[in-house]
Amino acid sequence: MANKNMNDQELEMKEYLVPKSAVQPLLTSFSMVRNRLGEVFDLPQGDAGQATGWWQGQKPDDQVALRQALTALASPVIMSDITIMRGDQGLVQTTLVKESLRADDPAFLVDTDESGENLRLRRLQSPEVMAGTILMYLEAGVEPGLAEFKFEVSPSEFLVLLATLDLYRRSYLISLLEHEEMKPNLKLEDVQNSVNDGLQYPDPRWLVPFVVPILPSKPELDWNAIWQAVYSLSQRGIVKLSEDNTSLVLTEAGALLATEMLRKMAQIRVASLGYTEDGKPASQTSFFVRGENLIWYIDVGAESVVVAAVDLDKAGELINELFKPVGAPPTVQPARAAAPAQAAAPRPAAQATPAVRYCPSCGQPATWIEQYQRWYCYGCQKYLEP
Amino acid sequence: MNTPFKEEERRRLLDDYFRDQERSEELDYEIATTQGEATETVIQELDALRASLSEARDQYRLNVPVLPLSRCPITQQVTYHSIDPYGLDGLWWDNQVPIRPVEVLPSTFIMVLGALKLGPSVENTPFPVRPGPEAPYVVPEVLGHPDIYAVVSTVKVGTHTAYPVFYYGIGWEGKVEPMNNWGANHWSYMDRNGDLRYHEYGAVPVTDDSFLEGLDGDEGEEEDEGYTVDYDLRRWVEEGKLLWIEPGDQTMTLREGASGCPYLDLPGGRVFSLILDGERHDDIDEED
Repeated sequence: MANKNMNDQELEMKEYLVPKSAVQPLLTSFSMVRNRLGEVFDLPQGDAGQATGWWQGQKPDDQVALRQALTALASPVIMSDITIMRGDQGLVQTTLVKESLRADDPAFLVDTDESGENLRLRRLQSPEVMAGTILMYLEAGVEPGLAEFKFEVSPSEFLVLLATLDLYRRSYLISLLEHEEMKPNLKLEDVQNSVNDGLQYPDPRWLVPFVVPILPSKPELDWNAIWQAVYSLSQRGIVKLSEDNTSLVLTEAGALLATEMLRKMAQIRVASLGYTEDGKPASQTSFFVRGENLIWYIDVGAESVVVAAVDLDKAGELINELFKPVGAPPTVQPARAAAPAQAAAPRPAAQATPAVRYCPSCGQPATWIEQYQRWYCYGCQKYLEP
Repeated sequence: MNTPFKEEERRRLLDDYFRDQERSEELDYEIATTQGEATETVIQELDALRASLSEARDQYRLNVPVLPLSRCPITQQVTYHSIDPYGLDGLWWDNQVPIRPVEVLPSTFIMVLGALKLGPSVENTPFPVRPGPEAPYVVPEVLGHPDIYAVVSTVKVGTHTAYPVFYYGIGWEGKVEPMNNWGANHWSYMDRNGDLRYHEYGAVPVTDDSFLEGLDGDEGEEEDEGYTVDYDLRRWVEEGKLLWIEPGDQTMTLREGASGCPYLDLPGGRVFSLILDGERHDDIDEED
């Protein structure tokens, strides 16, 4: 089954384990300034004495790096959730956290260890190190080819397309098991089942479940919506509907996509959350697939999804862009703060904090996603009701 | 870099330290003035005291607070820097042998200077303390560079009010020579590659000084940049070169513009202070 953690062969760097329960008390003990983005980490309050004891047990050199990591956790300017699925076997999940707006400043990779009790932290000299690792997965040891291939679809069409590609792959595997020739026709009923399967089972080896977490909202596609999406895909020349509208076949373009996905070597999703220059929350989500011959880049927006084949250089550019912070999040006023009253309010260099909403499920502060005009809870990974 | 000490823990540590130091100086004198060889007992006591003093310095270095003192306007990172906020008698303030942890600072850090408005009484320090003048100032020769910014903020030090001024920039190496950090006789910090940067303003560099390459006077004899001080902060604030942090603002929010800026025309001496044995003197050499 999938291995959920990065191993040292993939990223050779020193790893620090920090008890989750120690983080909050240490941030308080070190008077660390926190910002809105740092609130995304769902960390327990913890015991100050235990946290101090743990800290004092660390080597002085490690304390220097750990302190940097803690400041990054307290006040990140960008956080990128990265998930890499290598073939059908290795699943890597981590979060890149960066404290500085300067693009080439160091960053940290943060994830949870097997016990779930500790944060695992690794310092990167710059986000380019992570970008290089992702590129390595996309290169997959074989130089990718080039193709002029680009189209734009709606999010629901995109999801139905992925479900169709998953169904194609399933049909291929079944035909192998059954020693039968693969039938080119895919029933619309089976496409619907593929959508539902993908939404129900979070198995990252399939395209739909791998992509759903980075969609702006969990899609609810009924039969009519699926039919509409298939019809639109046929209008775009990706599939062709049968005369009785009960099945479809892939066109040449669709077949290219299906073949590429059938033999995909790696799929990578990156969801970055940061702030704009004028202090508004923003996010960018992208999905890369290394197919048999090509690298596929999928830019997932609220209104549309762009699918394109890109070369390795372009992929590198796009990945680096995902890790580039633009603006600084508003700072959180400490609970104990008692700032003196201002006679004439000076002009702050940073933007004012937007109104706060809290998640009704977990009680944590939600984040306003400007792009989608909705509040999002990173703890529960869902949007709040308007 | 350990958890910060509390005021009473610091007091105990310093009281013990100064007691041991005084005794150690007595023994040093005794040994130096004894005819013939000093007794084994005296030498053993002195060795033990020296070990204890060294350990106390390590302990102090481990526990001196590292506080949010500034914010870089380029990277937007909060700048955490060590400081002894309990009084000038802390070893952090010893100008000749400042006891400070390795500073981990934003990659844009250039230097930190500062000022300190003295409170009603001055601590009795057995070492020289150079906290700067009483009013904050800037160095025009540094801040005048187009890509360099400074940020002034406030921190209480015992009964005194201190004004650290951090300088930030990109690509400043070779353009400006960093001055000794506030209160210290040298400039040092750990850069983003994990390398310790060290320089003594007014002395021959002892380690990597590549950041000085390109400066006039870098070749041949060492020659410090001729720096001046400017207490008229309004111009720098209005030009957006000097940003400021509201006193008491725990969010360290950067502010711009002269409107509401509490650092303009502050009262206090415009002469650098030298504090020794509980007395303040004009530190003419330092200002020059």
